[in-house]
Amino acid sequence: MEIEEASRESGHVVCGSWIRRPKKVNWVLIAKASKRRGSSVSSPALLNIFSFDPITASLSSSPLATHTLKDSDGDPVAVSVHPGGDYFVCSTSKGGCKLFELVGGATGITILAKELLPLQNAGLQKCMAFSFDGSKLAVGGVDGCLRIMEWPNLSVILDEPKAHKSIRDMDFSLDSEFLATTSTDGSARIWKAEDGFPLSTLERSGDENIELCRFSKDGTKPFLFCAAQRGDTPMVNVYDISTWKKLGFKKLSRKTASTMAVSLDGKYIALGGKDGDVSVAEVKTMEIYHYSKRLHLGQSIASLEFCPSERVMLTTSSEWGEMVTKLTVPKEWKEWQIYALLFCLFMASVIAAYVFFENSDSFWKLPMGKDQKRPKISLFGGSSSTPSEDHSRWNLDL
Amino acid sequence: MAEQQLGVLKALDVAKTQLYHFTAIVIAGMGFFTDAYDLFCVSLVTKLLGRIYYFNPESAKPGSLPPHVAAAVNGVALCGTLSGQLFFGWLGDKLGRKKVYGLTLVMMILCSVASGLSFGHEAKGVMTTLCFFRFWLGFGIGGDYPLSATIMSEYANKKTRGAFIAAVFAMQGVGILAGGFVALAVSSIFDKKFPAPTYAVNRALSTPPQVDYIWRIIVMFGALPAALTYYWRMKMPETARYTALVAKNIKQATADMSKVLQTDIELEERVEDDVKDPKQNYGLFSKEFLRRHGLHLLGTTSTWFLLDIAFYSQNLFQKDIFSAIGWIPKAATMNATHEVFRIARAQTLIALCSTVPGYWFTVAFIDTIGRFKIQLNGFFMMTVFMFAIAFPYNHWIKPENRIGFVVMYSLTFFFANFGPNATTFIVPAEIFPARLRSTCHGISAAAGKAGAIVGAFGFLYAAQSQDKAKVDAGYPPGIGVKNSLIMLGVLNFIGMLFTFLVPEPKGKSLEELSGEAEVSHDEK
Repeated sequence: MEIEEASRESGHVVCGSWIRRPKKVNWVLIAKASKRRGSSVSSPALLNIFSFDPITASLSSSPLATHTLKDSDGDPVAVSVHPGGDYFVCSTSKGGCKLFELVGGATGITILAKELLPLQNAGLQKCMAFSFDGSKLAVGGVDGCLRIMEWPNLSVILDEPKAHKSIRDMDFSLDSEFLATTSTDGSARIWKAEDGFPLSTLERSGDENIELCRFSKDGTKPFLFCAAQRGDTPMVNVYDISTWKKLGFKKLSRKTASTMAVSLDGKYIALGGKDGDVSVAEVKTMEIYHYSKRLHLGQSIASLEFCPSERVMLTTSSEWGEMVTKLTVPKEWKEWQIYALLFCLFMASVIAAYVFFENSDSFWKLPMGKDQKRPKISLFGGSSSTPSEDHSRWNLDL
Repeated sequence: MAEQQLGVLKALDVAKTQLYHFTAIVIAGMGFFTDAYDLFCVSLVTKLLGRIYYFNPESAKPGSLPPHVAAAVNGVALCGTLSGQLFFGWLGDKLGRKKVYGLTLVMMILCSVASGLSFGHEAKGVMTTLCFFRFWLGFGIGGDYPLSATIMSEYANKKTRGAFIAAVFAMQGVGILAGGFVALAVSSIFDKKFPAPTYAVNRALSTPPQVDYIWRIIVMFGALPAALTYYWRMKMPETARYTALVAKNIKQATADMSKVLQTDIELEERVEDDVKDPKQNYGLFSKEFLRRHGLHLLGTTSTWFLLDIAFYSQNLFQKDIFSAIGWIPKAATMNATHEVFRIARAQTLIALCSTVPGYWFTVAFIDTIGRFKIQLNGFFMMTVFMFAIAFPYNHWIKPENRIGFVVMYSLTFFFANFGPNATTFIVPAEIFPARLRSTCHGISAAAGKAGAIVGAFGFLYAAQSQDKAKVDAGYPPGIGVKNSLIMLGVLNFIGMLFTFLVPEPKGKSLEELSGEAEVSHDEK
């Protein structure tokens, strides 16, 4: 019923995600809703794949590949890309969930639609996630139904119709052992990914609502981060995943968080706000290192994701579309600088060794002084039994 | 391809023990294997270096390295190890461990090969080059060792973690064995191809020019396990594991995180600041730490220091003891190749019969007997056997008693490994508070390295004969092998006494051990 102005070409981006490719190449998947004027469709719902240029930290101006959703499927709601980078799944508002494969090489790629039988008639799925090792897929519906499936054979591990009132967010742990889910009623639960067994309900203070969840991706920090709302105050709770007890909390954003992400190396955690702010904090110190105020002016951040290999963040919102932001985090040593340092240490020791060599006669105490050499003997016992070929070769080498 | 790789980790956890796990053990253990081979193979060839580069036609004894040169050749890699640990520990925080790991292995490969090369054929050039590259080889090993431990914990099967880690650690013993086998093989081949008279028969001809290749081949062979380690590691998938959970470091991780977080009772705590319990917040340099853990830290550092004096000196200078009691004949009665062969045979036999079984006995009994008793018993038995060797030393020198000596000497090594060599590594990781555990373990490990350096440089001087005529070229008279062994026995006894300062961690929770559970007692 709502009439949109035709001039807003970048409008109606629903969500986005990074696609990891070999050799540190990264693509971006952008899902767009259809635009309507009256009863006719002015542009259909699209799935676009753009290439990312790390030099300029920007996306390509035209997509590498495009796929158009059917009218009967409605609009895309959520996407999740398999860690291997060859498949992604997309939930739609009317047509259940869709599976897509990326096919092709250097000359060009194509998005192929595939069957996702167990989820074809699943209803609206609010969030989806692949496990870190790529062996499981989880989807959470607005009806509160939670499903966990094996990948790629899609056998069902868990189909729980009443996991939550309505599922809000979910994330797999780094070791793919746990799945955390949050609900619109503020509760959060932990599931065993292997068999779908519910392990725990996260503790929260009286009026606290847990809204988002992300597992740590640093192997030395076994924690779960949850964005929670306590009254009017947004904060991030930290839970110990060996006991599921709360360790503490920290306020990392000024406004309520609408989305949350952890960098692939586990060093940074980011929150996207409902008024378009983005804050990035270092996990080790839980201090804010980057704050973009009104990055998406007045619009809720719909999706937020760290680039797998660069200090760059992808954010999307309905009105402002997709943005790629370079993060102003403390400068890290570049690899070549460390190699240069090591090389300098090596050369310094070469010089020290040479100086020592030139002044070390008294140290070595050679019995024949400076002229001490390996013994060289023109005759030795048993030479007649040695083949002459071997004999001459050894002499030549010495 | 990606999906195939991604499935590997799952198989490690879910599957019953099968090929996956044995493959993982070998790959994870290659780091320890390589470290042990590279560090100890040089002890097999130092005699040969002396014959080649310190040849003196006027001397009745074959050439030998002067004491400070032998100490330099043996010990310079240990100094490199210390430097490498510091550098790569810092680097690991900057680059991440996986990248650093590749770098350390490349260094080890290149420096192993370079150690076998030299600039020119003059003795001074050869020795300088060898020491230079041995330092950098040690530098790479210093980076590799802690990373091997980390990667080991990342690949451990969650259900059989203890056995897995023990099997991986035992690869260290296999590395020492491999050094001996390589030396045996190379010296046998050269002896067949290039026969030579003994030194007593012909001084010059007893060292054919070709034997120069023997020590180079043995040293450069260390590049092969390093290269295999590099190849296999790069083929393994990126680990996605909470290593804190696998390595049971959760306390440390949660303590670090709690420091930077607020807690729900923080508002109340502000009011109660003056009654906040100071007992749980002491630092390393504080009276409270000294009161609670000062003796524990003294115990762990002193026992590790004293153990490594004996352990490293014996590992590096076994051949000198064997020569002193005649198991290895007098140098003049052998040619250069024979000497390498006999040294390698003796050291390999000791490792095969005592060092390696000692590791496995510790694995089997450490959680039943307990760390305290194993360490106490180990030091005690080391003391007993050292004294049993040293005091009747003149008895063992006789040829008919040689086997008895070897048995006693082997048992010393057995109880070193079924004893303090294992427990001094494990205990410091268990008895200190979470906040200070890694620091205290680091201090104890540094003390161990200091002991290794003392052992490497000190024993060589001490073991020289009191009789000037019997001393090797360039050495000042020492106190003799007998008195040196007595001294080591005394050090082991002192280590046993210091063991009483260390509490028994078996069966106790970490909170109980580190005193973090005392609050409830105080509140009663």
